[in-house]
Amino acid sequence: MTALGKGLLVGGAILTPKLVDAAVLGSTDFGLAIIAANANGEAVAQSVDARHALCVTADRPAVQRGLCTVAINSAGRVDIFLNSRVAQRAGITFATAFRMMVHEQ
Amino acid sequence: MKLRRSCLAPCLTIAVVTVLSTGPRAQELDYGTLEQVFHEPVTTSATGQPQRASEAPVNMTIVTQDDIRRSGATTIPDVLQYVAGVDIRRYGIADAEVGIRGYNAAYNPRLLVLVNGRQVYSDDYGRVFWPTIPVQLAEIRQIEVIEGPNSALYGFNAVSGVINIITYNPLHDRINTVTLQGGTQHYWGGSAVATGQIEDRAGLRISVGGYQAQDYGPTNLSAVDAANRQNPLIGAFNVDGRLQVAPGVQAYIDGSMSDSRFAEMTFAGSFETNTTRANSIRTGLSADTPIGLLSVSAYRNGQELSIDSSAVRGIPSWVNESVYIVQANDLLKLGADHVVRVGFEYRNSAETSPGFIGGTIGYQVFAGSLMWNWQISPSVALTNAVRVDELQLRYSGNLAAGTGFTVADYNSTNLAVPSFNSGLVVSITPEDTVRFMIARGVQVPSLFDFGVQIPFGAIGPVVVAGSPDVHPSTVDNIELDYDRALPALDSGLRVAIFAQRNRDLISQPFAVPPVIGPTGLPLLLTSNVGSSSAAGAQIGVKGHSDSGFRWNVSYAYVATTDNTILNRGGLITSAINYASSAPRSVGIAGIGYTRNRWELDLMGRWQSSYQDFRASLNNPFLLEPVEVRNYLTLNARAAYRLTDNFTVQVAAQQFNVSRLLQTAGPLVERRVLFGVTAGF
Repeated sequence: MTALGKGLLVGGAILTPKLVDAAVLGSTDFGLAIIAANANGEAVAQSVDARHALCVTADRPAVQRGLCTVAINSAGRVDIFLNSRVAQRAGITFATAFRMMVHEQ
Repeated sequence: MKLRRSCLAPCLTIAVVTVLSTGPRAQELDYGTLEQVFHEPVTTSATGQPQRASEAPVNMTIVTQDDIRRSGATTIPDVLQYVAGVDIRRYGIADAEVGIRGYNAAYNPRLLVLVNGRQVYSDDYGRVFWPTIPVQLAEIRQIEVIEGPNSALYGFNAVSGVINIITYNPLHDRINTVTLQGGTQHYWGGSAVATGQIEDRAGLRISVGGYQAQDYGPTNLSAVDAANRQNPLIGAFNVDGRLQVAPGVQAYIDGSMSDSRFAEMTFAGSFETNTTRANSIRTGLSADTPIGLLSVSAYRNGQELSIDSSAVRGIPSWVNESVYIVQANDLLKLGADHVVRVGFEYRNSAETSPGFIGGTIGYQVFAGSLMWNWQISPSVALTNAVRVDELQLRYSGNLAAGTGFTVADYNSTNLAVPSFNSGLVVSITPEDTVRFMIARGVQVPSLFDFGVQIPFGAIGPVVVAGSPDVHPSTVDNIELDYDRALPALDSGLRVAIFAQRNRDLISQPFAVPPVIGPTGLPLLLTSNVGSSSAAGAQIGVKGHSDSGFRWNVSYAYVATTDNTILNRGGLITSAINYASSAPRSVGIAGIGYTRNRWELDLMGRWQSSYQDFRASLNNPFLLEPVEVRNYLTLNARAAYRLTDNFTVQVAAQQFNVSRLLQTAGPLVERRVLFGVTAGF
């Protein structure tokens, strides 16, 4: 969380990080969730889907299992993995060029 | 299993930006962010889709803005001299020829040079007027050097390779800089780049620059050549505007003008001074739609060339050229593993010259292309591309008598020219990547090859003419590359081996053996003159350390054999003598260090001997060889940042020797340049 500091500037908007316990995610309003490796699960996935939010994690198996949308592997070579079924479930559409730069399943 | 801190912000930016319905889409994501994410340069030029350089199905070297700045170079060819496999012939301060993997010559017609996808070579001879390229070094984000034939991926003239110059995007990159330089050879030059932006909606970048100098002394040139050379005077202006029309929809318009005068070595081995006025205007639109990334662009390049040379005095020696190009592409991802690009291109080129053409020669080309990228598995990708160009030739004017050709012969000439590229990229491990490529590239005869018309008696007792019967030249290439990341050294290793065969080499008419034409007059006619084969290898390592050091070492070897009808019987008429007209071996090394406010770089380049040609003093239709012995050049640059926005530098080119025979042109002289750069 410290890496994001006071916020992440994306386009004209500043995304402000907030640390949230996975158990209370269902009652939290958010548009982007960065899920810790051990926190991915069905409850989190349902909360993310319900808010049409983007789920990002370093846990690639969770993305493969359909629990999160995007996995980013940044150890050594950087690779991004996208589960399009999860994206579709959450109503998220990715730009075509982005889909061409990632590993999609 | 944590996100690396250096990746987190850019990775999230990438991920978030691409799903925000009101924000820009990934196709407009700037190169800088993508480089931060993937820790390597990114390209969109090879297949149209954004790719990290290591995954592109071509042998691509990317020269970054940092590389350009640290080189201390003042011209693009001087920047390119440090790329393994690139051959540079320096005929003057402004005049240089650039070849890839051998096959270099004066007026080299085998290279496709682009600025943001717009061609900047001339259809006149297929050659590049490097000083007229309207781009300042400070506004270049990266130069992509693609080695090998790539006609199906890049289009016309990608015979030996492609130089793709990518400038900063004014929508994302705010470049405001002024540079002034002066030094030996009475060199004075400068450039200014300014960017204006309306946040995330529009951007406009304007650049202007130029230089003048006293060219290298003519000590080893003939009196005729010395008299024909004038000192370089170069100027260029460019404007580049981008507009975010709607989410996922971007429009652009750019235009340029350049005015240059410089001495140039010709294919005849003699010097002339060219005054060139070039301009361009382009507009285009790209949109992310449910049926893919649609893009359409249209542009016009214009060029007025005036040749000053004693060899053509008495002939109206001006050439006007225009080319109109319309391109449309759809880049579509099908499912998770397939990307397809369907492309269409229309080209209309025309060249008018009463002295050299006798009227107007031109062609229109309809081209269709198809690219298919198949991600077979997460670590294996196969790319196949095919392109077919349908060329329709046309001529109007007065053909030189004695060739037997009629205007109807020209206007009934149609050529269908297929080409293909195929590349398999295998990421064996996260550190090891192998590329295997096969390709057929095509060199279409230039307008000059088709249409030159010089009547009997104009320059000698011979008719010199182009031919509508000349065939396109083809080059078949097979190549294996291996990239190895060396994370412990923050370095990367690349090894490449290749073999290629060129068929139906095209020779301009002055170089072919004379024949007796149908009316009994001696005739020099553009012809296909034979074949040539080449094989070679390259190895290079490039890296840096956290302590501020950077280094690169590379070696390139190419061996070429020719089988042509040229230069028989002891008479040398043609510079097409590829077996000996490029150095077989080139070694490059560089080391640099950045600490606090200092930036220090030392670069060396050694090449083996080769043979250049110059015009015979006894017979203007003959050439005589000039043996260029192996040589080493050392360049250095030191820069000191006085403030965050103000830098002073000194660059020394070829500081190890004061004068050096590098070509059949003048001895290349040591240069020292002082400069100041202010950023805003």
